[in-house]
Amino acid sequence: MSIQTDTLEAHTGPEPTPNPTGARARRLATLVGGRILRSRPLLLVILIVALSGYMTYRYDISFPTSSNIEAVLLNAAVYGILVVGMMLLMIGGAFDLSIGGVLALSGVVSGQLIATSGWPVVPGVAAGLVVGAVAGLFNGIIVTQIRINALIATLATVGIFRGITQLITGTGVAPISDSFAKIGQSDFLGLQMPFWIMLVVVLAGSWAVSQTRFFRQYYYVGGNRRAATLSGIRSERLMLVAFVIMGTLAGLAGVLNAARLDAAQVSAGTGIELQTITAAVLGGASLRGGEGTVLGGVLGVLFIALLQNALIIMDVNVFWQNIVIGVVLLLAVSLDRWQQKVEV
Amino acid sequence: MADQQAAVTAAGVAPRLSLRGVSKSFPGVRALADVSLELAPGEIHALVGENGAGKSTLMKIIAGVESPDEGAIALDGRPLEALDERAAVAAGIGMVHQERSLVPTLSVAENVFAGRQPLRRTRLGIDWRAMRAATRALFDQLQSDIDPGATVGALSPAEQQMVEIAKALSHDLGVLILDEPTAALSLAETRHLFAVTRRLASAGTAVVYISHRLAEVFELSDTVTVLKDGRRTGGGPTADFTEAELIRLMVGRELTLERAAGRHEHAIGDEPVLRVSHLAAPPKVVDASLDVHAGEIVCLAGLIGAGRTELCESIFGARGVSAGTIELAGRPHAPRSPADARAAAVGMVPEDRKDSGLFLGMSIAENVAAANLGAVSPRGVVRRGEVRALAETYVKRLRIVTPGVDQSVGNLSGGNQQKVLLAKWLANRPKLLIVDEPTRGVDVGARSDIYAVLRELADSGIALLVVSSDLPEVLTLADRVVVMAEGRVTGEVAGDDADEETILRLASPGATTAEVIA
Repeated sequence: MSIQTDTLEAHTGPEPTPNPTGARARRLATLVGGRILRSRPLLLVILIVALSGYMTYRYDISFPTSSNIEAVLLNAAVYGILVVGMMLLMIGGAFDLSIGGVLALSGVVSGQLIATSGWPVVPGVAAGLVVGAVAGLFNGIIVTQIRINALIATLATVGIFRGITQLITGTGVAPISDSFAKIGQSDFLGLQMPFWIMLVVVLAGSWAVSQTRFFRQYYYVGGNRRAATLSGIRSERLMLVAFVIMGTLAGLAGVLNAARLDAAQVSAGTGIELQTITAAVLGGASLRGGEGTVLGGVLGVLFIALLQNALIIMDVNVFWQNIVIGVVLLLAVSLDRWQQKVEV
Repeated sequence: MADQQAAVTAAGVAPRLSLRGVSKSFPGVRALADVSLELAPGEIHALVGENGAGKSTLMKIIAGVESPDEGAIALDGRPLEALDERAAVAAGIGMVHQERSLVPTLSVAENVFAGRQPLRRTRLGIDWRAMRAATRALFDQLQSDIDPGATVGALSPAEQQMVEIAKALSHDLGVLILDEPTAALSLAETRHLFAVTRRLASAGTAVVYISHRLAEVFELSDTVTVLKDGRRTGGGPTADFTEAELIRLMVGRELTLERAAGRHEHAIGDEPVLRVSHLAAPPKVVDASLDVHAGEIVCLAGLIGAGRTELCESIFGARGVSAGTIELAGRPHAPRSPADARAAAVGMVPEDRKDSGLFLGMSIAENVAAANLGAVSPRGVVRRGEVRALAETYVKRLRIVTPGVDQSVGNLSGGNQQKVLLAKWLANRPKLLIVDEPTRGVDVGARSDIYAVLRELADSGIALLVVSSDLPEVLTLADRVVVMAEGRVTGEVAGDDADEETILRLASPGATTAEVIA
């Protein structure tokens, strides 16, 4: 808006500029505001700090306790792992709605093999990851080889994956085994294992996506698929790989989730795709592709986990949480649309 | 200048359309500054200027798409205020936009009569037969045989352009605006369009004709107006101007598109870098053979749809081949993807820059790196410093005008965008570089610069295969011209011996040869 005023002023000649300091302050505010809005990680850090500060001030007994913070981070662990894969897909211009189904399927396969078939923990966990990878490969082949739109393809496969999960166990497996539960329940440096595993996945993912040649290619694929292919980038193969990575990470999340509860539930991961995509969009992913960072996605996850925690502490009805997540997604997408308009 | 303008319309007739002192600003740009224009009934008025000169903005104001900040518009002496698109159509102002405004999933007839399909006598439902017949009649006028029942999405770009024109003609028009209508048309179709335009003009319609092709301006128009940076820099009866004078008014300096000097001074290699033998890639390429040597620019000439782009895409691995062979530096070359072609040191700058070439949201440096990630990432890790350094090398070498390599390519002019695409492939050290329509959408001023760059690249030993539909461009650039028609290579002419007539004769599909040359 300020640009428009400038141009008009420039052409209407030497008019007495009303209140120049006001105009300058406004311009500065736009500049600072613009910078913050443009750097999504920065905006999220500010939001996280502000929300934590408010909660610490208002609920100093229940919020800033080590057990509560541990709970927030544990809650964020599964989403943190998932958002790495989702961010990669979204940078490349796709997404995956089937991750909840993959999560449940992997958890049930691991749980069933360990609890019923008596597999040792390590091969049991590995089997869960392989199931996730195969599910991702299935999605990837449908999207990149048969060329079905990712929305429809993964909407269809989530039904398939959930159906297979129910065929395997009916309702679920519980308890699984003590040694398996250790993966999800043991502590290290005061924080639970799933958090540390997420940290490793996130650091590796963030480094890879921002620094390595292989993963930088996804920005080109999402930015302009045809131009990427005509630049000698193997777009289809890359997207197939991204779906496999997403599936494997969903498998990992499923195994961790089952280990944490010492139970593999058929209904695990319901609605998880909404929350993961919301976090990714909050973190700077664009539905058009070509944008976003893993760091942003993870900060998006932390913000949502914190928001949910705040709603619980403030004793807000559980049903409101879904409404809030939905509204946050809409706001994040609107912000993306708005930025697009301003930049063009 | 104002006198000249007045003289044209002083024949006693009230101007069909008059614009007085029209100005328009967009955020950050002054698109039009105090532009006046008068159109007499039956006049064909050419509007020329570089990209960004304000031609399209001016036409959008006339067509009611944009409203002016200042100035007055009058149609047949009546002032028009608060003109919107609907009012403009009702007033008899029709426009063929540069951008397509067709619905690809609907039939040709439904597109032509969008929103005003003829109804049955009962007023219940559309009279499909009447609509098709009316559409058929319009295409007969255009001497085009497009089927009114065909789905628009299945038509070629040239045919879609004809549908756009038919759509504009279907209104009872007092003013017709044609914005770059021939960009996608073949020569024969262009001729038909000109004939129809003249017929409309002689029936009293005032025509505004926007084109980059000055030859068309001289052939068709009665009067001409030149815009530069949103201002009118000159104009008057077209016959009073030479091409050089128009170019000077458009760019503000003298420019010549002469043949590059010293064309034969560099060495052309003996062995061909590229040898294509009897290549077929259905449905567009039937039988194509050609050679390109190191240091040589071979221009691939022909009409739109002759299969030139498709041939190039086959060489580049973006399209399958059904028969024939390709050799690269003496060795068989059968790329299954552009990635394979890149590995074999072949590069291609596609025709549609925005759709298939550029990453518009990204910086110059990132665009250059797109085909060269290997070169800037030792041990698989991308080094930002090397990404920038690589781009900086080529920004300097290709004289790309930009404040820095971090600039978004979306902010560059067409000519500089084209150079970024060239840089992307040069950084890959190609043996063969294919450039499809090197100056499409590039300003007259930037063209000679692109030609100079292409010449330098050839001199550095790269084999260049250039597709161009612009004959003066072919004659400027080519060491050798290879002509295609209907999927076949129909002839080859040495650059010095080439002239427009020879090329046109070879380019024309058998039966219509005589007609096109006449």
